[in-house]
Amino acid sequence: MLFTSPQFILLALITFGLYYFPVLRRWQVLILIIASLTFYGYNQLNLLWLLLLSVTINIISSYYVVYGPPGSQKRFATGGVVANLAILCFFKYSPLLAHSFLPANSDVEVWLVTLPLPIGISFFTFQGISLVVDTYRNRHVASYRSLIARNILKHAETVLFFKAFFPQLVSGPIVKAHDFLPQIKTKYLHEVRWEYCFRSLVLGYFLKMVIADNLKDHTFTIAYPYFENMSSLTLVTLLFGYSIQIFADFAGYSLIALGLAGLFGYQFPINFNFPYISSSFSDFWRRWHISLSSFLREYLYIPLGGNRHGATRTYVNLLLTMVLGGLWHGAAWSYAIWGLAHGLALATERFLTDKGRLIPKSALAKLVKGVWVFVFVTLAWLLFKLPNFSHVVAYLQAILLNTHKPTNPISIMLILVYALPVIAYHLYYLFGNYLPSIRMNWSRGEFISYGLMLFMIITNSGSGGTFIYFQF
Amino acid sequence: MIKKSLLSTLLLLLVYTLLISSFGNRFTLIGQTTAQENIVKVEDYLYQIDSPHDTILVGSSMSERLITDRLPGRCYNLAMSGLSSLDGLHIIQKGEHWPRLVYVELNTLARGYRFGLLNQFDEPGWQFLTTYFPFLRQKYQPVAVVKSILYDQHPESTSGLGTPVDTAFYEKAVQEQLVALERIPSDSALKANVELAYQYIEPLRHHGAKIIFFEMPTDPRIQNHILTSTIRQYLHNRFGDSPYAKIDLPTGLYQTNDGVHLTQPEIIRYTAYLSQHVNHLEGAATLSHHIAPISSPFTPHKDSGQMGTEIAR
Repeated sequence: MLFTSPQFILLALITFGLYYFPVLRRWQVLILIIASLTFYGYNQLNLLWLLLLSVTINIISSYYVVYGPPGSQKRFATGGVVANLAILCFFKYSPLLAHSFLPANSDVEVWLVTLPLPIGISFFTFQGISLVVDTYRNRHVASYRSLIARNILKHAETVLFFKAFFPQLVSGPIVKAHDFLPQIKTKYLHEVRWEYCFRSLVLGYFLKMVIADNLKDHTFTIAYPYFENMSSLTLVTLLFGYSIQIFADFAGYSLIALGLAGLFGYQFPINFNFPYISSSFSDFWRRWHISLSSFLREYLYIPLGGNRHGATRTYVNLLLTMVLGGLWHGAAWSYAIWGLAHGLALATERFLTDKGRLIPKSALAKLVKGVWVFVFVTLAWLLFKLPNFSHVVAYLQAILLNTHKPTNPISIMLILVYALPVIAYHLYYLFGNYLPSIRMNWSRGEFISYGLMLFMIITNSGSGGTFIYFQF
Repeated sequence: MIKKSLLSTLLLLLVYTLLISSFGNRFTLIGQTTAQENIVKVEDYLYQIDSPHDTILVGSSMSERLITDRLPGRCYNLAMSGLSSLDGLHIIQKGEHWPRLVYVELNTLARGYRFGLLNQFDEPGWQFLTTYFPFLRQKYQPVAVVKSILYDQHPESTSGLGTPVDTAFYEKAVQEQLVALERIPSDSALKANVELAYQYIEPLRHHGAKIIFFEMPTDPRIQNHILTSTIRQYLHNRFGDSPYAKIDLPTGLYQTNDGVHLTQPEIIRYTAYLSQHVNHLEGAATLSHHIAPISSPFTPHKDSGQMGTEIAR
């Protein structure tokens, strides 16, 4: 059940109606839990038990971190984190490890390689870790302790809701326990921020259904060996289109999640903040998939020591965090290479900045650096599209060598047409900061833009497809 | 802001509907991409009124470019890139326009459903909505319409004709196809797909349609692969003794671009081959009041072994 499917819209409408029905107000959390389990079960009924198992582990560990026997808190917290990671590793990484290290076609290898990948496992596992760690860290803070109910059934309801809430269940944003738990209370219809929800939903659906889904039908040709028969210009345009597509797909999903959560009175953190205007790699990671990068910073990079133990250790921590962040995206070595590439870029940038050699002074220097960051990020997305590293090399070679091959102008034009709104979206943000009159004029005509986006959603959506981040 | 936005949308939809109804039929509208071209094909097929077509071709990208105007019957081409013959059969069943003759490409018949792309046609109410609100159809997408006006009215008619095959690319493409064939589905999955095909084809016959199976020529390494042979065997076991006709693979050499898709000149040649054999079968049927039984069970053709050598050269 995709956010773009009629089944989902029906589920959301029914849930919304019941949720704000005055007689049912005290069952609001339960209504959302039932809707969320229906949503997940519709996608993967056979793996619903795994979500419930993961929830159970987090109920027990977080509860006993607060109410367990004195001295046992650390054991429960560690056990909770390890159990979460064990489930993630088993279901997500066993196929990769088996494929890499076990004899091909042996019984164990075949069994592990064919394990199903539970949808959203990376997201709900990280939320579980956040719950256990936050609870451990704040176990003596009265305001946080009050969020962990003494009654274990009540606590179970809270944890199940926190982990399974359908807008963020399968593709984030990764919501942290200390941000979400305080929001759980009775909600009223008059409190809904309609304009915020409307903006998020229309922009989100536009990015997903009009931009990403249409670009998808062009970029599917980035497949070995078919790209070897295309011209350099076509290959560069396709890669550019894929870069726009992956942004539109995931930013679109995140915006829809924000809008949906808003309809039920919950506020999620923004997940994308115009990432393609970044003028440095560190800036990029403050703007791209913010909930993941802040999670990695808060729960991995800083606990590893962050930048508190000297330069060498800082670079090691940075690389390790990015490689693990890369592997979080998928069980293939190409994702680790992708993370390593970003880690090396961040480390190099940090080194040069520390030496005072990479601080752009003029607007032109900033622009050049911004273009370099975009080109690097875009090239790195190839590792997402072509999991075989030799195919990535072949693609780059083809860009350099295929200057003589015929170009398909119509495909290039269509990719640029669909990329245009995303470019305009970033430029508006970039120049809006410098020229306030642009922002003022925009707000006067804003309704026309939203009307046009809605029109395009209805008339010009691409062929439906799953969200790219579903596989993560 | 919300009300004004919704009103703007409504206004745009009204104006666009007027434009479609006034000028929509003046252009050939085929969609923007391969996936959308498939959907436009299905829309045009399902929403046709008083269709002139009495013959339908179902298949994949392999048979999509066959020149249906040169085949016997007033033929509608429901072969779709990336999909299988089963998807086309599903659409025929859904449309309930029962044809006189159906050409079924065998290469992808046991591939199973690929029609995730076509799911929308199974949504309740979708047919009603697209019938009364034509702006919901893919062929009327604003970008597709602009593209059609600017480009599709003057396509390069001879593109691809006589383009030499890139042998290095060809070999890599064939190797990829062979790697894909190595992922052999289980027996039960294959049999289930064949059974599914039977469940679609048998009702067509009951509605008076003649079924003609054909197989697109491919690289001999693919054509004679064990999986291809196994599938042929399963198809033969299920359909072999029934009153269906099959056109054998041709004896001559056929050149493909990538191991599975014929080059444009070969498409023309293979269309002529098919046409000749269908005419022969039709003639036999007229004389004896039934389609000739399968002449040769679903077996690979022995004379095509040199094809790959020639291409590789």
